[in-house]
Amino acid sequence: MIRETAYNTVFDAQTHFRLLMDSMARPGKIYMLNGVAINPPRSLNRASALIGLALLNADVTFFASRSPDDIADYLRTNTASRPADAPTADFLFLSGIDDPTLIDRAQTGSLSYPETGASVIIDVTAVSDQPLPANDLAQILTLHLTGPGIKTTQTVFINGLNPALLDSVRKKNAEYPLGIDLILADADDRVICLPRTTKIAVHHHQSNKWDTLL
Amino acid sequence: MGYVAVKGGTEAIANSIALVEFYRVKDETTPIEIGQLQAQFRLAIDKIMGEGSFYAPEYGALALKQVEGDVLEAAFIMRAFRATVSRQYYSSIIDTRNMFVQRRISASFRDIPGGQVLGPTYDYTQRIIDTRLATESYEQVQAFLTRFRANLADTDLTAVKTFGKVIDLLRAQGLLKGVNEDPAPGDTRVVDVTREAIRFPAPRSARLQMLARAETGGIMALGYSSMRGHGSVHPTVGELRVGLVDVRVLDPRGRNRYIGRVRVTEAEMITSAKAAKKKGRGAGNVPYYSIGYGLCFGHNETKAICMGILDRAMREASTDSPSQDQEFVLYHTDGIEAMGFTNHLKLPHYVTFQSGLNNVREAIEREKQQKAAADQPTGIAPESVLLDQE
Amino acid sequence: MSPFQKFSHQFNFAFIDENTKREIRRKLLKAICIPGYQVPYSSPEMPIARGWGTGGLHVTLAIIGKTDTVKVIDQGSDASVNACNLRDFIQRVTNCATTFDTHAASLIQTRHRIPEEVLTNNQILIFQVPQPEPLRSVERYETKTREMHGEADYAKMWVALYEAYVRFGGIMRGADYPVMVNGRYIMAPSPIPRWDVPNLHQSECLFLFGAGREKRLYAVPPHTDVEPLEFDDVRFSIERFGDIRCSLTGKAGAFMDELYDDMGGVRHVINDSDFLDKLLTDIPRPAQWQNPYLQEKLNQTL
Repeated sequence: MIRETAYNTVFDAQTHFRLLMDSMARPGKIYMLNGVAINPPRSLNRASALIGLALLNADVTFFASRSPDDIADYLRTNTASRPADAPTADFLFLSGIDDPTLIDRAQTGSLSYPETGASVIIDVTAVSDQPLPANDLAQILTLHLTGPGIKTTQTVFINGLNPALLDSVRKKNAEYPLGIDLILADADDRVICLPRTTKIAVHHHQSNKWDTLL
Repeated sequence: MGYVAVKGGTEAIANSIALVEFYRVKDETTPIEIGQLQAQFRLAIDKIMGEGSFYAPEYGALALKQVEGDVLEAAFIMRAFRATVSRQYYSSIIDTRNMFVQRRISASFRDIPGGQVLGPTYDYTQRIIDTRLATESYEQVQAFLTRFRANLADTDLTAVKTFGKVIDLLRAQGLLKGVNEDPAPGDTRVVDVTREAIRFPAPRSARLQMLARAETGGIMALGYSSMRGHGSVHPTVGELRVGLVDVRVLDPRGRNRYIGRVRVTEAEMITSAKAAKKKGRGAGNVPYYSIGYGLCFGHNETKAICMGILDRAMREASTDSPSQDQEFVLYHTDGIEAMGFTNHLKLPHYVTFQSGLNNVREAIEREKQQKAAADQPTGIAPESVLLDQE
Repeated sequence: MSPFQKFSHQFNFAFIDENTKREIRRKLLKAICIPGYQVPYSSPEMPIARGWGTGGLHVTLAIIGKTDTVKVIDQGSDASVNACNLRDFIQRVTNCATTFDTHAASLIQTRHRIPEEVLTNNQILIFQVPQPEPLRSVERYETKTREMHGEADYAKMWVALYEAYVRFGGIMRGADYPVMVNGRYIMAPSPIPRWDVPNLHQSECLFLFGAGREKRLYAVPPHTDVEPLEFDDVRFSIERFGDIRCSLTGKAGAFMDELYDDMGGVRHVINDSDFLDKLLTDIPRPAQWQNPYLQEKLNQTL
């Protein structure tokens, strides 16, 4: 029932990986991750599920914050990856409204092996390179990004991301090369990547304040 | 002859491959059958399986035939093929006490429980070339086998038995310290070096796995060096066994299923245990015994013995002798890697060379200019020459 | 993936099994997140010998898709025997399009050169790397070099460069000139000539590096600082070819090969075979990289 039949583990995984790789190499560049009909649990954005299907296998572990059993069944069935707790998981699937302590616990690697820091995929409502329509219920962040992969600066607009999560990310990434690497996936299949090298300046729409992280 | 921009590379390769095939068959002798190689080149195939890290005698024979007898090339083909085959199971741990022994000796004791079984070995054949083999016929083979079987009296055959281990004798008498009793035994995880790059210091499981896959000549040289004095390990053969062991896997319902047998060679080398640095920990004041362990596919005693020597040597990590230097032993004894990199020198390196040439020519220029400046009669000390001059 | 059959010849798309592809892809993503840092990977055996490009192949085959067009060069040439062998293998296991035209390729696998023609944001350059560890010449042990990178303790390297200067009057590094990436990691750019090194800095394209035998992957994203190691008063420079021009095209401003004929006479020819081919036709000179070292050279000679 939850085993995907339409997903092609050879070609869909490759196509989506190439988009992710270019997205990670050019932080803030938005890509659509779609093109195949899948049925992930409702607590997981489709693009996040596609990231899991593309990258996970039996050699890595994941942690999911919402409906952990549903997501664990789904990922285990389709990738043979195994669930683990947040401090040891290689991949964390979180939501934009999650408590930042989940990020606090994620592993950041070691000086000799910094690549063992976790990859964190956060489901948000919307990701855009254009300003998002504002309303009272929206929590819109404007992110100014600089760093490797970005020519001068890149601006993205995010809806549905608790800024406290970005605060936690800042703390995790304060001692480069240790750190975690972020992917934001929205409800309409858009993804952006924020590797630990990206410097993020956050403008809070509601409070009209700027925070420079990292 | 045209410059390399002339598009001839593909044609050259095609001709080269055709030539390889030509050399293999040009004498128009009867094509060798895989079965003949398996039967009559047993030891070459055992070496190929060990260094190829792939137990598949038919494929070993195929590979040996394909590369005109170059055992290392054949092992390379096995490795490359192995990398394409999906992994279905991990076997249960094999206890070699249950081995169907074909050969089993100990140098540590004259008589051992179960007895010394000399088995099939070239050790006591005199290495005198046997010219009778030049005219060996099928009838001669049959005649020999008939005589051989006639010599086996039915009454001498006993039930198949297994043999206890010599090291169990030592253990029972409290003479042996296990590896996990070494001071600082190190990482005891079981890792698979074919699934992740080795990290140093490497767990013992990784070291043994790499030794099991290593090229026989490479580890032989290093084992020999340790015995001769470039190292601390001069062991006694506690037990050397060659025989067949059963392989079992757990099926999806958790039942332990027999899937076949493999031939292995096992060496348990008795050495002295690592001495503790401080009194009161580990071996203390008694020079207990410890085992250097070797195990490889097929019948390859040199390899198993040298594995045992190097297993023990690497447990006493030191950069004083190559055999005790983990990185030295493990990085340089994989035959496929060593053969590839040494031979890669045949690839064109003219761009790299040109870059270096430029440096050398500039250095010569600088020297000339310094000399010219020094020869000036002004008495002013020559300035250090700046680099950006055309 | 088809089930195993004895003596059958079925291989997976792009030869490598899907599990290994996933591992390589995950590691490439991490490599991009930590520019210049060497990520260990499983590096399974390939039908090509170690030291002959297995790392480059691992990267190419792990990322390649049905719509890619692949170019393979060795010492700047598409036609050299090893480039032909690799390109043939890639084509056979993927059925992809191949090309000699630098501009038309989406993936370029290279041994020891960056093409003269500038690469765009739609292109990925994959380097074959013999020795990924830039500190190996000053420290033979991996345990120590890993620590040195971890702590950014690069004193031994700087001392070695300085000692070369004291002895020979120059830094004396040729190909594989050490660089500092993103201000944090010293990296081996693979044995490309110094001519090519400045092209790694703030590029439009993605650079991926595969060292198969040593089992390391690393990356330089676009728009990333890559600075050759130098002193304030002893600077990095690219190779000088002086007044030398290509004997086939009469042009300068590209890396040259030095050729000797049967009489011992010497001539030079542009090394990059596709760039040479293009200069031999009527099309305008292809755009080259915008690095200041090359630009100075071009201003002098064009």
